[in-house]
Amino acid sequence: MNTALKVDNLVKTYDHRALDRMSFRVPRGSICGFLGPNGAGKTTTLRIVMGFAFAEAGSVDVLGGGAMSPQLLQRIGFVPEVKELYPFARAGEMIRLTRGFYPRWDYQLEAELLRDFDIPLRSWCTKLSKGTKTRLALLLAVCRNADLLILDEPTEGLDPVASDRLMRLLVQQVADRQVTVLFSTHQLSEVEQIADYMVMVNHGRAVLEGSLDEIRQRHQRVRIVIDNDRVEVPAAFSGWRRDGRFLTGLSHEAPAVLAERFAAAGVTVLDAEPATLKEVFLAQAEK
Amino acid sequence: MIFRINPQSGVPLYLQLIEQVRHAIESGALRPGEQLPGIRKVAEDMVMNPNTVAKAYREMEHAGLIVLRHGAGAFVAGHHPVPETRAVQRARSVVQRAISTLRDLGLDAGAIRRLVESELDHRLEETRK
Repeated sequence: MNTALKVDNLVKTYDHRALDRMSFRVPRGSICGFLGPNGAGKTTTLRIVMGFAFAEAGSVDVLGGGAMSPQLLQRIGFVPEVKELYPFARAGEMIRLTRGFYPRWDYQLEAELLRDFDIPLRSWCTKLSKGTKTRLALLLAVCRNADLLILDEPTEGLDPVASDRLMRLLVQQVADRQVTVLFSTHQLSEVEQIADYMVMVNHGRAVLEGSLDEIRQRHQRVRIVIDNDRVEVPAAFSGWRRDGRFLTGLSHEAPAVLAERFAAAGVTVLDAEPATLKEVFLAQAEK
Repeated sequence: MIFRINPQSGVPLYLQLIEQVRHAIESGALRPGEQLPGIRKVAEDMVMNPNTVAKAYREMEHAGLIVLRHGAGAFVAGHHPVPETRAVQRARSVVQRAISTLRDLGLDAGAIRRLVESELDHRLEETRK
């Protein structure tokens, strides 16, 4: 796999263990959703990747060039969780200032986004609303023609129109320039819509990683019926939710394997449907 | 746009695209030689990942549904097995009979739909192996 970002066994302790051997990779040219409950370690990981925080152990490889460096930063577009901008500049000055650092600046895209994102160029950055700050931060990150976009909750505070424009923008960037996108979000629907790869984290480590298609195909929501009340719940289904004779659970086995296992346990399959990402997420978050 | 996706359904999006093209060909909505929209256009219009669209197109080419001509785009294959209109008519009466049997068993529309979809998904996965 051609990898744009490789995170290997990162360990970070604040007052608690924030990262506990966090490892994952992001394939080049993919849109990767970075998911996990609050406090799972998403922002800490992204800050370490960017070189804004240091890990006690582990390593990061950005675009095959090792840990983040000034040279690599040129090829990265980053939108942090807290979208604070230079306080003594107006929005327009902020754009001009940023442009100067990036020789590959995309002026045409800048013009399009200024229009679509409706950014008031003459307003002071500190006076912008939360949503406008986010839109400006996104413009600054995307117009530099980066090879890797790292976006920490980019749709937070955006209205549906602006977040749709962002989704469209990311799709266009991947189609046109083979850019790689890693974005964290709490909106599973955004991941389901545009991501082709995902990393799910919990308690400071990656608990599920892979192509979205594979994860979708692997996870089935299965309902089974136990023949009668005398039958004990088979140990294999111990984590499943029970309601009388009915058991509901998430399975990641192939249907044939599953059927065999059920037959051996003497249970009847009521139905098996593809699990939604939400169900997969909740199952992982509960662990 | 011939495509319509449901990202929340749990069914991989590339399979949804493939099923829609297959259905459009079988129902005659897409004819042999007809051009499909390009990957970039589908990705943009549907706001979905271009890699996913590309994967669907590759699989459809592999299955003989479409032909990819480099630089020119994707076209509905000329000699795929198009079912006769009579076959579709016969199929329809089979489905109608099945539905009334299932209704007699006490299943409602939702239950029937779920049953059919879960069977189809299994078939789809089996044939992909």
